[in-house]
Amino acid sequence: MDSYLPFLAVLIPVVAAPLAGILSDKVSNRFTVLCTVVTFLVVAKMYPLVSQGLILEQAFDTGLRLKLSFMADSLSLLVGMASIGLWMLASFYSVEYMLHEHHQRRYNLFSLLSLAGTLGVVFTRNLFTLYIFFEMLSMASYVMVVHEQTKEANKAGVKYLFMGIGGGLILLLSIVATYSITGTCDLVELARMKNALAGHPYTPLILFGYVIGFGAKAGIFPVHIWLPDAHPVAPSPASALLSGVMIKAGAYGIIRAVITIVGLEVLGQQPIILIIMVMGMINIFLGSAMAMKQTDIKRMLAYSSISQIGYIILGLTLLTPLGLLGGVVHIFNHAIIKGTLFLCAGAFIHQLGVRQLDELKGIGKRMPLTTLCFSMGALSMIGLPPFNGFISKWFLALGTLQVAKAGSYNMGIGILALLVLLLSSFMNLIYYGPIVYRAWFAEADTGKIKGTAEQSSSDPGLWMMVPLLILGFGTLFFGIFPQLPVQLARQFSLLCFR
Amino acid sequence: MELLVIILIPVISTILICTIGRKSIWLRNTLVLIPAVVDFILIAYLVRQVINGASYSLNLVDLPYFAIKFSIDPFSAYMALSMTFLWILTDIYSFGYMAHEHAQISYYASLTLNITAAMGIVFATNLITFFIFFELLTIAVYPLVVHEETEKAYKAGIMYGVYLLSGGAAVLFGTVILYNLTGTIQFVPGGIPALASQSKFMLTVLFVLFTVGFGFKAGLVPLHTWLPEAMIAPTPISALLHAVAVVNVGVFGFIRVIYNVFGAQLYQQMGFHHVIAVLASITIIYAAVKGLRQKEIKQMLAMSTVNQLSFMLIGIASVSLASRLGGLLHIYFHAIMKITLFYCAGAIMTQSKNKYLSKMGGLAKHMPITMTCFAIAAIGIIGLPPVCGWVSKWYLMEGYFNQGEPIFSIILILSGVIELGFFAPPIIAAFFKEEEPGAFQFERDTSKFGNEAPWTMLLPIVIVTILAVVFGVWGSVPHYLVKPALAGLMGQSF
Repeated sequence: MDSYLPFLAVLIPVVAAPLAGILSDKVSNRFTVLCTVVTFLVVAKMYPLVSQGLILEQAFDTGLRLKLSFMADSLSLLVGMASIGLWMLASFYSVEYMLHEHHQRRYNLFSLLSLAGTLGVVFTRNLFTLYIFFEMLSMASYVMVVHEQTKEANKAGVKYLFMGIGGGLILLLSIVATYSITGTCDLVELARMKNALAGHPYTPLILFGYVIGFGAKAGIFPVHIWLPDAHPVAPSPASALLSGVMIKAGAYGIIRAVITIVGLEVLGQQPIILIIMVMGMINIFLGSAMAMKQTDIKRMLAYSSISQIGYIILGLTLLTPLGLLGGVVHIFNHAIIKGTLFLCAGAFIHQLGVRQLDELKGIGKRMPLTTLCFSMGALSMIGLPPFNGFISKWFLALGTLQVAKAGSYNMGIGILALLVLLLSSFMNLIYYGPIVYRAWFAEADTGKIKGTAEQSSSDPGLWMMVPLLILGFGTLFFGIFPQLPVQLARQFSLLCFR
Repeated sequence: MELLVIILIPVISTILICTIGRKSIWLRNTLVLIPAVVDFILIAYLVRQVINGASYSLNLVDLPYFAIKFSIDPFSAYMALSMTFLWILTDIYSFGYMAHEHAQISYYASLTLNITAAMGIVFATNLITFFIFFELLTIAVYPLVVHEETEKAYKAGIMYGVYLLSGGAAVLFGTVILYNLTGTIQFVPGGIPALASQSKFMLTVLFVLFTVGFGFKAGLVPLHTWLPEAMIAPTPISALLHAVAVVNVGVFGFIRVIYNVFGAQLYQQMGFHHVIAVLASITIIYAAVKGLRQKEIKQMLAMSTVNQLSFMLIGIASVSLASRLGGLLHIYFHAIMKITLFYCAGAIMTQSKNKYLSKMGGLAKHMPITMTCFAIAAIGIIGLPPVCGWVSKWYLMEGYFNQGEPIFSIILILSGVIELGFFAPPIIAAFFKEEEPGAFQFERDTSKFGNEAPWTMLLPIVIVTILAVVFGVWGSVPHYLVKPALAGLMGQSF
């Protein structure tokens, strides 16, 4: 169905970005909030149409042989909603958080450009358009990473830039190869062709190029090395967006590449899918293991993101309907959870100046509401019901058990994947559990936290608190009423495994 | 008639600049602008007709063994249009840049005379006409190279002269042999038919002579060394001539020889396209790596130019249509991106008195517009969207995939990564790092635009930057021209 909505969702931030860069700091912050709210409404307006199974699309002639075209189907809408939802809340949060920061206009400008990049990647119909927005995302988010302009930030930024752009160029190679072989870049047509790349000698290489190219953004092992440096150095709302949304643009790309471009039937015969699955498993373990060792809260959260992106890859590479469903749902859920956690961490840093995990002892008395949100996020991350993290793990676990039935692998691999899931939940418990416990029940070390203990509450002001509460209770809400993400994901999964 | 005006008006203007140009600056500036603007408008007017099939020609001399003839085909219209457009901008930029320089009359006279040389080259219909203007361009650029009149400049000038004139000699030698073999030196769409029956040895000799001859101007390694040396010229000259006109003429020569002398088919039968592709690949990687080690802005840009010129060569020497289109498109796209970079470099060097890449820290605070444009153009050169460089790269890569030689596509990608290595550090430093004490010596310290260059320099910078971004997502105009250009070159439509 022809609809301007997907295009509009991308256009609004692009057009608004230069304005946000010109206005005065205070106006610019509020203007950014307004833009994200409007964009959110545009994306939300697509939901009734897409949930009926319609695909919204719009194309423009560029004068080149390739078209600039946009589309929204159930997968892109789900990822898009998670992105813009978190973005909107983070921009509310930034109004207060960034109040005393330098270069606020620059931050807003590139935040909006990154938003446009993310939505562009998600709401695109062909790979040509996708690549434009993918690189736009890489470059715009670079500025968010180095916002602090410290030596550390610059170092992390260089790593980020080179990995992002290097990955992007590898991606371009794969896209061009796909175009050269199939004669089209259009995702819908590629999906219709099904076995477009079947039997071509380069197919494994092309697939690998997609995984490395998108994976460099998603933080897949071994191209994840920038992530634990880059995510913590950014300002907290930016970290939340980097970890919650932007790596999902990479994950989204991998799902599209694997399912739509290469196609499930071809994939089953490729041993490379096993390699990708193993990469996902390494992600899960490596991320968790490194997270346990961290003392800095934001660094720990960044490693946790590496681990969580592994879930998505694992769900995808199981090649079963429920596994895919679980992976896609986890994109949505993880955005909410990691958004909560990073924004809470930001609140701790902003209000009390604590960054170290052992300084969080007894913080529940100082900042009860923030700590409550943090606890809900942490419990959800571990995968406890009734939080939304449980939902994705439930479907992933079901997916692992479908493996033998779907016939893509033997049962052994399914059992292995299930064990990985359970073990990883346990590891999450090991590093999230103590933080939550100590925050509520341990005595605070006096002197480490600035301000006095007598102050009744150090919870942040409304601009920050409201987004935190929405996200925190969002983890609970989507744990009890998971219809929205699950239905959209199911719609997509059914379409793929029809 | 139109062609006569195009070719003659710069000559008249040059004479006027030399004679009455000294009287007032406004008169001189008008005289400088007129030929570029008139040529641009005339060509823009002709383009439509030419693409629709009209033909314009001019026989200046028509003797049995010596003919100077011009005509306009879609390809030459494309080249001329892009060149004259950038010429106008460079004229405007020069008004700001050269305001406090010495010997301005000789500078503007040479600059204007070069329009004639460039137009003569692109509109030439046979090799001897081509050769005459080819040499005229070499000679008329010389005063610009030695403009500084220092020891170093003269040394660079000698190197420039020796290299390019010997290249010209090779072209002349090739022309003579060609005439001897076939009895014609006319450019023929699809190639000179009589050449196909010649012996392989003679064809190889011709190929080597033309490759060496044009290789000098197109900066093929190891014939590129004059280009970094010639960067001693004033920056607008580096921008226009050493990034657009002179070097593109080298590529232009390659195109004429491949498509209108040998003919693409014969060229491929002999396997010459592989030789060019391999040479170009070597150049691409060598120049990119060499660029990493440069310390001065202009030297770095020179190496980047050498690198990018081979993108065009690798494209036009290809078998597949997509790569050829990419090569032709890249001529224009590279021109607007590289001219942006050079303009910015010139603005930086005149305003801050700093030419070292390592001392760029904090520059964006003083010159935000210039540095933003510099960053955007650099993004394009690396080959990232939404700046136009990636469109041509896409075509080049697609073509090489189509013809089953993805190794060349990988080389293009590799080059992008290496180029990121030399473009990123100065840009990152300028925007996000602290200023080194004493790195910049700005003359004025105004508040509104910081220490930006005067508007005559800033305006061209902004125009080309906007163009580069526009063509990155909406490639209508160049695309509209390039397709008929390629069809005209190959003598067949597709």
